[in-house]
Amino acid sequence: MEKQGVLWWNRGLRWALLLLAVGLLAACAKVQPKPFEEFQASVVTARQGIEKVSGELVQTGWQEMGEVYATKDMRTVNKVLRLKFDTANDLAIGPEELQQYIAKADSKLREINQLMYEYATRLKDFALMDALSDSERDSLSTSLGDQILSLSSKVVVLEDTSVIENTKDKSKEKIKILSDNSTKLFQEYLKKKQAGVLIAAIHENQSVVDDYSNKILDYIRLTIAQQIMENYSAQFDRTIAGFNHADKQGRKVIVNNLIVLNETTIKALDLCRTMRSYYAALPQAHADLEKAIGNNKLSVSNVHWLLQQAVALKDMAENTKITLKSNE
Amino acid sequence: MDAKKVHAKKIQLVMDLTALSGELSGMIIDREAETDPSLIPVMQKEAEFLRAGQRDLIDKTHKMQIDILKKWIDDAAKLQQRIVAVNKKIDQAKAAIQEDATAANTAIQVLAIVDELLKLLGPFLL
Repeated sequence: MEKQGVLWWNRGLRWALLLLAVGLLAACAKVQPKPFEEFQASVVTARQGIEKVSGELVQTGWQEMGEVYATKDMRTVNKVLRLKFDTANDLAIGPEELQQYIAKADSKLREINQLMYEYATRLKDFALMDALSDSERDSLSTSLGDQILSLSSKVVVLEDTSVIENTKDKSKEKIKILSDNSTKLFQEYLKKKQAGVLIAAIHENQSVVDDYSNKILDYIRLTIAQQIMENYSAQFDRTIAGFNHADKQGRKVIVNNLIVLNETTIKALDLCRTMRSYYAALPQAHADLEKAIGNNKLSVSNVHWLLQQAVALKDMAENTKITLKSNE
Repeated sequence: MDAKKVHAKKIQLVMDLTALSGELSGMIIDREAETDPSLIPVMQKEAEFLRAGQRDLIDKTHKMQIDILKKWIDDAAKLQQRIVAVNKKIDQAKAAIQEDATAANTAIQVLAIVDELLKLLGPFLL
């Protein structure tokens, strides 16, 4: 009977080792959270940069309009600034349509940025998710261990009451290994499932991230870069206009103002370039997140670079005065 | 040419026309800055002509820009819906995993009940 009990345990141990091997294989699917954290942080940081610049440009647009039309006659102001209500599509559009559309696009940009931020945050939270809390894991491990021990010792007791004391201590150790592995195995099952969902989400959403990135790149060229160029031209013309009639001191002031305007514009265009390189790199970095799943040693350089670029973008946006206001 | 290429070309055109308008500003200033009295009337006329052309160019550029922005806003609204759908899917997957964890905890409770039952039945089994 003692032999039979030992055989029972040997068989059990073999199964436990097999389960352990399966568990170790499943462990390869573990999610590496760092790239997800960096991806999310870059989206948050870049968003702050682009929204600051875009908001300032919209503000500048309204200020420029104010400055330009303050010098016009009442009829012109009435004609240009009075809104025309189009009841068919519920849009209020005046003759200064462009400024209205830029403001509307700025607001849409903020909305899609918010959703993209929510997406990146979800990916990060999902990668970091531990379905079992510490207390749940402890309870799972302890309870499984205790209960398997309790149940199996009863089985041993039923087999031969004379071996209870000898077997109980040895079996306690073996059962502990078995229960620990079961808990690990279950954890790995959850992690594997988690990794599978992340891979599928990144795969499915790649086209959305491509489109998002293209939309922002279009926005940078169509509104931010275009507005910087147009504002520069208008501002340069206004600043230089009085040069011929100015005295030496006046000319000096005008030249200094033109230099300041040039410096501001160069910085603003540099900022546009940084924004462009950030959003152009975003889709590849998103695709690289997939590689990070299940590969703890892989360095996801694109994601890391993206975060650095976003930090640079935010710093530049904070230190660059986009508003090309009158220097006169 | 596919729609994406046409769209990209249109944006490039808006930027090129804006740059051209800036160059025209420079040409206008050159003419307005003329100090030779004999040349001033001719240069003024040229500057006026260039300025009218520039106004027309800016107007046409803005119209083109508005058309592209209208499409941009529409496309962004569609993109919004797609991101919302993706976010919803992730939420559902998260909930499913948490359900699994809950099921594991239920299994522990079932084992505990079995254990209690065995304790009760113990004397009879022995």
